[in-house]
Amino acid sequence: MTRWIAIATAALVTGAAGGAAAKDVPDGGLTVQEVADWLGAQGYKADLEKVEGETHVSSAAEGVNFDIYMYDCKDDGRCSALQFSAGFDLTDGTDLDTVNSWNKANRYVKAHLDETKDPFFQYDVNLSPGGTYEALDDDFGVWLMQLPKIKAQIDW
Amino acid sequence: MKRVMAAATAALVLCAANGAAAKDIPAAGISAQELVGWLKAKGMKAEVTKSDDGSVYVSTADQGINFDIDLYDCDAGRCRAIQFSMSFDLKDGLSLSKANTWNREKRYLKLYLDDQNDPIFQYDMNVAPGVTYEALDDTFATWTGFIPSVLEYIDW
Repeated sequence: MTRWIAIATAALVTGAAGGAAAKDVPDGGLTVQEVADWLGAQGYKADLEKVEGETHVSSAAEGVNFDIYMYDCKDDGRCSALQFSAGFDLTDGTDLDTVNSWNKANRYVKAHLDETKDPFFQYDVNLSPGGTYEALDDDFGVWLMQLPKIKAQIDW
Repeated sequence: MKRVMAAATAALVLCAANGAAAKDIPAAGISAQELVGWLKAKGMKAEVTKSDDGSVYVSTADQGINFDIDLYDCDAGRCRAIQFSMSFDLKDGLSLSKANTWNREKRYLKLYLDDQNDPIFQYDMNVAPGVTYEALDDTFATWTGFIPSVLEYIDW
């Protein structure tokens, strides 16, 4: 009996430690409000904006405005993927060679031009199943690290 | 004592359930050999290959298409990021405009053209910290799920 309790207690401790290291994202993913709360808790701007019936989070870092769009959402408002996206309104736009060289040289973030040759940079992240807040923090760290490089790429 | 036992048993069951649902990738990341084991467990062919500069990557295939998994941010053989990558040798290459349309319309995978205008599709994922095998499976399913649209897009 003593041994059984000891094993069970060890499991309790392991379970608790696992939880602290990597808090799970709920099954089905996050709501747009939870994403705003997560971002706001880190001191970043996190405004909810509604465009054509879809709500996204509007934020900023490193002097760059960016949005977080929710994807693969269910009726309960939980979304299993999101996309960080930053668009830049340039006076003369930029060219396809510039975005191609970005896509060749950089990991994670893909670039494209819109119809007016303005560049957009996007990074897609899956949240569920099996996602944790620790992994989301890490992915957001990648996005933040790319922002200065993005500005340099387009002379912003 | 009975009550303690019940609580401890519940914790055991909970931990076991969590373990089954979302097994953690080690905090230091994954090794090339572990990636091979993970792919082989799915019944796929996979081998560790050495590149010219001595670094290792994993070669594999799905739906008749060869692709590689490159490892990044490595320390002592464990890597905290991976990149899925597939390239195609086209007779006439692809246009930058067509590559741009892919990057504008599709999520997750970035596409760039090399010096011969051949297309390379890549998808980056952080695998530590806070990442589970369940999340890796989910991301891998995203990658393989894109293969048919990739082939159609480049008329392969």
